[in-house]
Amino acid sequence: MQNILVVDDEIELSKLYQQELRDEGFNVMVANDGFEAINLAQKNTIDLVVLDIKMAGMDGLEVLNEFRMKNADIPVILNSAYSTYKDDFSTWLADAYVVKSSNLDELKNKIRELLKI
Amino acid sequence: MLADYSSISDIEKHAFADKTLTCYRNPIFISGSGGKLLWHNVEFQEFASKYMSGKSVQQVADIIINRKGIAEQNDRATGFSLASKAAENSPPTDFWVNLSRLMAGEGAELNVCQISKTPSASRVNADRNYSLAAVINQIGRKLDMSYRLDETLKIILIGATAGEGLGFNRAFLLLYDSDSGLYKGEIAIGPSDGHEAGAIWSELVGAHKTLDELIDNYNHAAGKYDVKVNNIARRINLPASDLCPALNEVFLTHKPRLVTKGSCQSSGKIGCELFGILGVDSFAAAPLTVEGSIVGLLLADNLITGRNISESDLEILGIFANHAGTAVQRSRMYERLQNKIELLAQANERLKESQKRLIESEKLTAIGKMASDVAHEIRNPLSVAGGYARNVRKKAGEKHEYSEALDIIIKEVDRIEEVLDNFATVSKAAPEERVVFNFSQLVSDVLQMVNSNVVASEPIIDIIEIENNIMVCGSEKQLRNAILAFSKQFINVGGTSIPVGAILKPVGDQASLSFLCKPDDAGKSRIRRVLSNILVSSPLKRETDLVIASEIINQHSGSISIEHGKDRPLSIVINLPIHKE
Repeated sequence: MQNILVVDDEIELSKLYQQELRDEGFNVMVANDGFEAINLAQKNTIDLVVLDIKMAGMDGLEVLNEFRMKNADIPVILNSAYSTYKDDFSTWLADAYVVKSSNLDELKNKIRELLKI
Repeated sequence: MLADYSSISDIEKHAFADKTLTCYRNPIFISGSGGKLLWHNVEFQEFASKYMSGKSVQQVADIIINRKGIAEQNDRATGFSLASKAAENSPPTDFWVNLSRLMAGEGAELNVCQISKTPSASRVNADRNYSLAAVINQIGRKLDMSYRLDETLKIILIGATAGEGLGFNRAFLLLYDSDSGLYKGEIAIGPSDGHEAGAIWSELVGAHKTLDELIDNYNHAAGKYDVKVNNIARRINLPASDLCPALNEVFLTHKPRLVTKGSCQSSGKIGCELFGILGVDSFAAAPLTVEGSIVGLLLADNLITGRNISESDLEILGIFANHAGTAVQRSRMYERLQNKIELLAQANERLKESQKRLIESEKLTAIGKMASDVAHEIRNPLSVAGGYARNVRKKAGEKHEYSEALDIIIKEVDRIEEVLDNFATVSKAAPEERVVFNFSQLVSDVLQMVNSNVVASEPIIDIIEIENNIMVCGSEKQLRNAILAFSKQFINVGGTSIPVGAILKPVGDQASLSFLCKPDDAGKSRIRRVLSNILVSSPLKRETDLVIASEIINQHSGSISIEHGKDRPLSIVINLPIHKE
């Protein structure tokens, strides 16, 4: 079973993602801020990260930079309510960018694509 | 001496008593307003009696004062000859009458008249020199007031040709053109044949009495006749060297001289053909010198009258040409100053326009950020609500009593999310009419504006190369904002301590604008810092103008990339399709 790390400070949304992705057959870990995410990634084997951008403290792009320096090969999907950053080259370090939506089909498809399932 | 007396009564009381004027042995008289004879010496009484048929002194004074044309000449002394007979049968004797009109202190006029025998040749010369000096003085005054080159040139030529001036029939002005290294015929005035001469001179003589009036009204009175002579002028091009001997001497000595076919010696060198162009056998050439260099040449001839050009004519022409040279130089400097002022005014206008655009760009940024923030704040809770609705709906199955209600919730959430997508798009670039425009000029303007807004001794973005006239089709305003946003990033993120270079050139069918470091280690390190800051900066701290800028580039079928290589500088490259006719 592949491990997915969901990083989002919206707790209710994290729970929803956890539930939905578990239903899809993934093992899901949740971090509610950037520091916790880096911590979890150091202690666990992570196959893919779903990462929010706007978070208190350390924001998603800073977390992304940390991941790239330490775990360059882990696929990262930026998942933000900011659709405007989708075309911004500040997000190019990520493997994919999915705008948050109540419909998680796009996110799930992108996860399968990156994990080659 | 008369200046010591402030009124006619003063003169009556004192001047004659102290014999101020009685020391002169020539006939002299003074008359006042209305020609009333105020004073005369004994010699004048003898003159009236002996040479004016015994007329009274008052009658003789009236004849002199009222002589036609004299009354108007009130600004200086006037001389004229007077033929008179002692008796009906005796031969006429020529006298020279020198009349001065003076203003006395009470506003009254005094005419002071001295009579002598016909003047000597030296006197005639002195009078001519006086007249020429007055002309040069008038021309000088006019030149002092003229700052426009075309006007200055015209004054010079009128002075050289007007009857009251130097009196040449035609004059041509050549000015040095530094681009070609040639003295080129610039302007000329005068008739091209006898018929034109008659027309010009009759108009000038009939309409204008003084040189001042002539200069002020020349274009109206006689300018229309100058077309042919100007065509001749434009055919004249002289180099500064390898000239025929006579012209060469003018350049070597910086002095005027008479150039004749004989002096030219048909050397076959440049300048000999001037006789053919001008249609004369001789002409005067005077250099216009300023601080040791010859800025032009004044050529003058007497095509119509054939009058010989004397040494005295040349001397006066030389003085005149020196005066003219200074005026030409001053006019040129004035024109250069005017051009500089014009350029500064244009630059100021561009700066104002750029600042206006900068404000528009800032507004666009603020609107974009606000729209983006609003969309974000709504989308997060909506994703949670809609997401759980979908989750429950999936688990509830088709026959659940709330299935229909859940479908409605999901449908409405989708609607709101669609609205948010459109809202976010509005915050990006709005579509605008596309036109073909000069992208090179746009990039140059933007970079100069960005640099001018940075307080630093050196520009932050070094404009390494901008190839001219690269044309792009699109919204000039949007692309200006986009390039401005990228340029500003380098300053906002890097500060003035990080110099960046910019190159715009065509690469294939693309206009390629590169922001790059200079090819040294320090430069590379600096631009890496800029790029790193751009790539990892927090969206909460950043403006959204880069997002909008990227969108604008995409909408114009352009692209943004990062280029680097072992021996190449690290650079951000913006590519846009070049417009081709």
